[in-house]
Amino acid sequence: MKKVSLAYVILAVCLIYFVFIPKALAVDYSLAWPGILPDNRLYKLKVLRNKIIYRMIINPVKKVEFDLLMADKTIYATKLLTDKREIALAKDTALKGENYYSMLVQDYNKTLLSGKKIPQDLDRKITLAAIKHQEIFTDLEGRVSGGDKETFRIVNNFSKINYDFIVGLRNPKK
Amino acid sequence: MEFLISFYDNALIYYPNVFFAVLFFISILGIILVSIGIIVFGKKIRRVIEEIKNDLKQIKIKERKKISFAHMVRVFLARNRIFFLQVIIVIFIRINTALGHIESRTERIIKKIGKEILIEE
Repeated sequence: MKKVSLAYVILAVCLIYFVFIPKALAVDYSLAWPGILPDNRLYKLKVLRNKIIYRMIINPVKKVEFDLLMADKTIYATKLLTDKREIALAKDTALKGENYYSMLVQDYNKTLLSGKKIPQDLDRKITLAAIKHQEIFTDLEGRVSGGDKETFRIVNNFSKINYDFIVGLRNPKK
Repeated sequence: MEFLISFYDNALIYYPNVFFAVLFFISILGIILVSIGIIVFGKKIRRVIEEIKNDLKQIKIKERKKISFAHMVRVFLARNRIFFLQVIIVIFIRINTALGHIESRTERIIKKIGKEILIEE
């Protein structure tokens, strides 16, 4: 009887450790579906379209929103490319994705300088996205080897720096 | 205005393909309308130009007619100069005879009057 109950306890602990704790720790933020991936022939056309869209957006807050969406899509595309074992392309895409987040930081700064407020919901999304990106980069670091790991580590660091910058913009030192 | 800008930005960010498709169709519609406009207005403009051309032609024809009438008269005169001179001579002779007739009549009247005056004296 004692053995059975001990087995139940161990099972319960395992269940909590492997199922509930990771779910609780994982960021509750879903990335947007990237659509066609960079290995597609039409991807350049999509990039051109996105550049045109970026120039056509009027509201600076919406520009920040667009940057966030693009960063999410590109980083999700990185994950999908890694799943397809196209690591070289995934590394490039990761860097481009983080570049979108850098653009977001710049636009965030511009928006604040122009005297406009970032909505709280968007602010929350920016934070969650940064954490999610870092989570994905950490995951990808574990899935690749050698020099590829280094690239994802660098991108992860970029992500942290960018997020720190955002935090600095939110709480400027007087 | 703020709402419109927000709507435009949202459409651009979240439905870019729909946005560009609509833009594409609007531009095609614009091109079609402009071309139709050009055709219709072109016809109208062509008609106006033709009317102006016709008016100019008519004016030219009238001027030519005037010129041709004078020319014809000149040609007629040149060709029938002798006949014309004969006509003028006849007219002058007639005028001369008429004047001579009047002269003789007046002389006669004066003579009569003179005789009557002498008789009375």
